[in-house]
Amino acid sequence: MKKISLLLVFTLLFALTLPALTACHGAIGYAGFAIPEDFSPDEDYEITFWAKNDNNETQQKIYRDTITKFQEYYPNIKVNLVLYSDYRSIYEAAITNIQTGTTPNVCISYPDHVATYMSGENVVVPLDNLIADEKYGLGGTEIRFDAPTRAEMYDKFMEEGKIGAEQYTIPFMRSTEACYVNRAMVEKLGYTLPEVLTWDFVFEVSRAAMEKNDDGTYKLNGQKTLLPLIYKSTDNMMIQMLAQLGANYSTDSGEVLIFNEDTEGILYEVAEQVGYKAFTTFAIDGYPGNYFNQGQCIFAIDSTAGATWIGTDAPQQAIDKELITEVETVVMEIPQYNTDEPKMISQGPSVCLFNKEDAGEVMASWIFLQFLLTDEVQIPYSQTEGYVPVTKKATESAEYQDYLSRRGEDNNLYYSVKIDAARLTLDNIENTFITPVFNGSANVRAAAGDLIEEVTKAIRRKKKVDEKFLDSLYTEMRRKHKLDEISVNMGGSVDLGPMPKGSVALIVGLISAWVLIGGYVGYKALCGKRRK
Amino acid sequence: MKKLLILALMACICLTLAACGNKDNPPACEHIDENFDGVCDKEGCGEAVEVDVLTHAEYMEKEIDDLVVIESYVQGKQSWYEDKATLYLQSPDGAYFVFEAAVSEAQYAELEVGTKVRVYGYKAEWDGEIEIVDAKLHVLEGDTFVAEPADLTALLGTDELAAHQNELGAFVGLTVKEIAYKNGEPGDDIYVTFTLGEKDYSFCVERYLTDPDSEVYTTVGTLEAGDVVYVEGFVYWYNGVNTHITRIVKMLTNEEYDAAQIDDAVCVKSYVQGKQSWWDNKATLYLQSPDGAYFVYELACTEAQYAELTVGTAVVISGYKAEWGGEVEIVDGEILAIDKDDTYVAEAVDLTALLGTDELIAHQNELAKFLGLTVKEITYKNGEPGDDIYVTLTLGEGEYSFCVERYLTDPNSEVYHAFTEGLIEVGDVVNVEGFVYWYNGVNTHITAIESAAN
Repeated sequence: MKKISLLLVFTLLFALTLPALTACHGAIGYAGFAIPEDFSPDEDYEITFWAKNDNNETQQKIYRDTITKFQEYYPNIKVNLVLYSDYRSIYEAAITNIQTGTTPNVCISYPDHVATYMSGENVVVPLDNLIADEKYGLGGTEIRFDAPTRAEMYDKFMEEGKIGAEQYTIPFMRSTEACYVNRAMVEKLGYTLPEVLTWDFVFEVSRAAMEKNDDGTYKLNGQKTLLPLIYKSTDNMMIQMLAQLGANYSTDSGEVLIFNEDTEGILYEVAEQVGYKAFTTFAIDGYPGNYFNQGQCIFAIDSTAGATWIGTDAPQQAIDKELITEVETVVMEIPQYNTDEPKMISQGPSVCLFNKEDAGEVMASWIFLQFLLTDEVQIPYSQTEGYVPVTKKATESAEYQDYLSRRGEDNNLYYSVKIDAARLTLDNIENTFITPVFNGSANVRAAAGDLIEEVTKAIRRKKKVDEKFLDSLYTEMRRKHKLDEISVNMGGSVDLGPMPKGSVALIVGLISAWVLIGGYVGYKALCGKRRK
Repeated sequence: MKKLLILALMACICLTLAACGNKDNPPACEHIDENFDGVCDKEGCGEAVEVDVLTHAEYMEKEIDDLVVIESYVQGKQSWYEDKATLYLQSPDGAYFVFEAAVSEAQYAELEVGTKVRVYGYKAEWDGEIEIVDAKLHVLEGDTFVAEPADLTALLGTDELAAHQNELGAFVGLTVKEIAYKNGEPGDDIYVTFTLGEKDYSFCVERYLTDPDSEVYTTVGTLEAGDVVYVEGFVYWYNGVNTHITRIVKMLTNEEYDAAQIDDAVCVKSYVQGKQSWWDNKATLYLQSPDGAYFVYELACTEAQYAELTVGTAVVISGYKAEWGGEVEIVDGEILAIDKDDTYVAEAVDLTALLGTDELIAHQNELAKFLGLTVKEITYKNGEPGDDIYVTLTLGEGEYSFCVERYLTDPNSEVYHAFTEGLIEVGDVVNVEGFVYWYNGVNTHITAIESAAN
């Protein structure tokens, strides 16, 4: 009888588990997180931290050193580091692991991605209560290291981590985009750089640069290659152009408004410039920095975080030394439509906490997350690329101010272009903006970039970009990026398509395990009967 | 009482059968009436008659002039004038040509490729073309089907092709013999004669189906005798097969591909040598033919197609020529045909002597081997095994960057293990095999490595 009961229990468990395992994203849910009264950081915890680095050994070392230092304060909290080479991989892995309840504890992510993680119930921990907690909140009384207080965080950056009314991510590093300009080329064409670049200016100069010699080389650089204006992230290009025009993009609640007259105007402008061969993109031709450093590009628009790859003396180079030419690199704000009200994107990695059954484990993760905000981590990490720290505590520190003041002392830690890029971000914090974050906002962003890429490709492939083309393109963007499936509400969901294979395999494995367990119990029950 | 009811029902059935005739005598009572929606029961139309919808096989068994009712999906809209539409329809079980069905202009505008329709009409034959005439048509909402072109090349010149009449077919590797405009100049139909093997085949660009502004019409105008092409079209019949071309793409030799400009549309036939990755219905491949090699980046490819693309398999792809970091590649491509019976596996050619020379670029993407190089540095992307491995090899004074690309050769592959298990270390002299990839200079993707001492 006992065995039959066991069989029933397992069957019931299997039946109850099956829908949870096979349903779409975020199916494994937890109870809402609450700060445990009896939390003790001296208990043993093991947490996992997923981080991103771009083959940057210094960043890898900083992450490892961070964990070592953290464990000096909290030896009972063991942190396992998993490194990914790009944010997309982290996103896909997170989606997979949400399905199977095997998420990391602390995860570097973009807020857009976190909004998608949240389609599962209580998957991501809301942070407001944690931030405000007297003992373990930001800079709380029980925190053993010198963590920033809430007041020492940049409000502007913190705001970016809100989804709806709640804080779900904490900024880790911030950057914006810059226009890296080859000043000599601009002046050789008879122009003088204005204080703030305008789109008209960069397009005009780029068109003027296309004059060729009889041998097919360009008059400007004497080379057969000249791509005067290259944009790295065309999603940002479209988003920033629309913001500068005060045009619609999307609403906080998930309404997709990108297909409008202003977008159309931008696309026609892009088409015209591509027609002159005066504009291209990273996706089509390659890294702006590689062309810029060879004297084949006048305006390279890329992240300020990418500054270590740009310029003659850049510490990171993807091209052979003999190809690099002498370039005077000027780091400028991205081109504007209205120079009186410059607008530029705020970007960079944030951190989120994944919920767990053990609230103490979440608390341990939260303490580690705070350690990522200390000067010990913020300052050295920001110096690896053109990032800026997200705390005033760090940026106003003597150590960081000293770093900024030593611009150009060497071509590594004090590389001038990198420090110029960091200053550009710091000087423009109030001019930065972000796009609304909701479940599906990453899709809208992808569509924004694709619009520019597709128009660019179409012109290059001698197609006509007209109303008919744009209508068809908009339809394709809606289909490809599932824009019509975005729920106009927080907490709505967009179907992200079939589960990744890894998830399916894992789920099949789990189901198989349950079946085998159930089968075994059933077998034992039957065997028992036979023996009787 | 029950017996009486059964007798009455049987009497009704007998009367019905007698009234509607039999197979030898086509039913006089059922017909298509221009003023009636459906099949009428008598002249002047009283009520609609329920008529079974035929499968394609049943349709083919019907006699000429029989009334037929079929359901199928629009694949091609040939023409509309004076409330008459001519259409190509196809279902998974076969295809139909509907000639001048009664369709209003508004109804014609609603018809899209894939739209399901029910057709009431009469089976007819005109110079070998089996068609439905004097037909009426109903749009059926919901269900859609878009036919994929089936490769019918092998059936050209055989009697079997007739079984595919009106289907959307594909023909690979036809050679243009002659192009002739009806009336001697562009504007009307174009008659195209192709050669395959020893035989000639007549195809047609039907100006109503594909007008002079269409891509296929203008493309045919650019072709010359001797060009080898990939053709798609509806297998129309006019005193023999006379496919109506809907798409035509010139297949380039490797030399022609090399001569093409960046951003040009290109189409090549080649053979799979390396499968780098597949995700989200996009495949990245190394292809090579005896005359040259190609790198195909994120080709539209279903998982089933990717499984078919084993090393050596012939594949015809179209896309656009592009260059990224010095790597010349085909992007935004699609698979036009896969031929598993046609195979070629490239042998790695020794290009050691070309390292450091400009000549190496002529071998971009080929499978090559480099012998007697010394390992100078091994670096893991991300600092630990799992992602790409960057390998610097030296030969004489020269230093060359190679890469173990984790998608092409994953961490479980033999070549990856050679590094992670310490079989290859700094200072070793090695022989390397790989695809001559380019990333701001040559950056061969290693597929095999061994100690030169072996």
